[in-house]
Amino acid sequence: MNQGLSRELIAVRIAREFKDGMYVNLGFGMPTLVCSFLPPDQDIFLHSEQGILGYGGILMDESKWDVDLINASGQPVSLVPGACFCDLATSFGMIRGGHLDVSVLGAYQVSEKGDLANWKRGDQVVGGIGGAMDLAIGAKRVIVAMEHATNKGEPKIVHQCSFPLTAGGVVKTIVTNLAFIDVTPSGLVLREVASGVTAEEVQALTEPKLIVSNELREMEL
Amino acid sequence: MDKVFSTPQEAVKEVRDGSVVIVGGFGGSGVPYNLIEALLDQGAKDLTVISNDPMEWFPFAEKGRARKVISGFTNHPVRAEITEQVEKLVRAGKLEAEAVPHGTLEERIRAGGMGIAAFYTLTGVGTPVEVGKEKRAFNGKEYLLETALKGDVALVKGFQADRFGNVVCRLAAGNRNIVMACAATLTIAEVEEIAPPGSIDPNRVDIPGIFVNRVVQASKVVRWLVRGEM
Repeated sequence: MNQGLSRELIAVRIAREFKDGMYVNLGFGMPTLVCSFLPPDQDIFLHSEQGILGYGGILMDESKWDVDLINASGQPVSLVPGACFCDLATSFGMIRGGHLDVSVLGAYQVSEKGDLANWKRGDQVVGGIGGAMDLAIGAKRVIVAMEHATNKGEPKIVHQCSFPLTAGGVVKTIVTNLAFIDVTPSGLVLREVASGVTAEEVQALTEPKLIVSNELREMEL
Repeated sequence: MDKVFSTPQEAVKEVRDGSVVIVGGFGGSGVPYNLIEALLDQGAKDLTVISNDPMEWFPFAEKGRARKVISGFTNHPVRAEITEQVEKLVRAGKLEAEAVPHGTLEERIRAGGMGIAAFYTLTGVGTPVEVGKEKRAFNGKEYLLETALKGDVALVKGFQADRFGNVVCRLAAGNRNIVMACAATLTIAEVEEIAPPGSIDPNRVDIPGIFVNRVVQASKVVRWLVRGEM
């Protein structure tokens, strides 16, 4: 079947959810790509855990790299006009205190109730929680960016997460290479499919039963 | 008052075996590399190292100096071979690794420095982090009780300091250093420049001197590093 969107195009679709005036945190991995596709005419402030509010894109020009100015994924970044710094306890206060509009996170698994597992696989002794647990419970809206299924074709959207949880019932939206899905009290609503992908194909790689929206459409990028 | 020490080696001389060492820095930014190196050379062992990133704690674990690490990342987020080494140490009972949500880690240390014994947070509820902790409902939501953390020693990095211990940080490198500095019996700051007394604008002080016991000029300053290189 059609493999759907590239990682970059998943990021493009997520960036379309952002509106002028929003404060947004982009997590490690695929979510970081979103910073390259922000709508240019709007003030969207990217928050980074180590105390940056208002970083711009990732710097490609090595001569401008500065170890004192990196995002939470360790990448050198620029600043936008209006950027500011704070210490890390304050930075996590912004997260935990409910001040962020959106947190985009990667995931190993998401359950039909919006439970998120993204810090440790079941077989691992150690793991990387990082800021994920704080972001998951603190942001007004959690969007998960991930591949729809594992490399082996196993669903990552499941009835119940088998990996240790990051937080329960927090994910509002899942954007994958195949689909745009909202987590609602009545279940998972399939709102959009990637070009050339059918609702049946998405369902075949999704463990819980999807509610196909009456207004199901192709993802606009 | 003169808190300036001549070398990182002098500044870490009395750190004892079994100490709890809090280390600043985030993702390679604001890491007190000179103090870490000096403490590794000094030889103190059975340490408990508290940091967010394996960049700061792994050298202690690798050299058998750390008995325990408390960190947001008990793995290495990028280098699988380091994660494997850590897993081996943990399985062999040579290292205890406590994974803490990063925001909770910072707040526990902040609380330690600010005289607050414990606090309730939503972070970690319903996850392995809640095991063994008190839960209590406020306004219909369940919160976890998290206790304060303090260190015997804190190693932090700033840009400038004066002899009174006032530290100025550069760009986003204040990060965890500003928080860590408050929570230890002995806080040592390595900086790139020692500033003459009175030359630092009081409004620009990131770490007030009361929190800093020792200041030392960094002999090596890292301007950039590839994340894979620690």
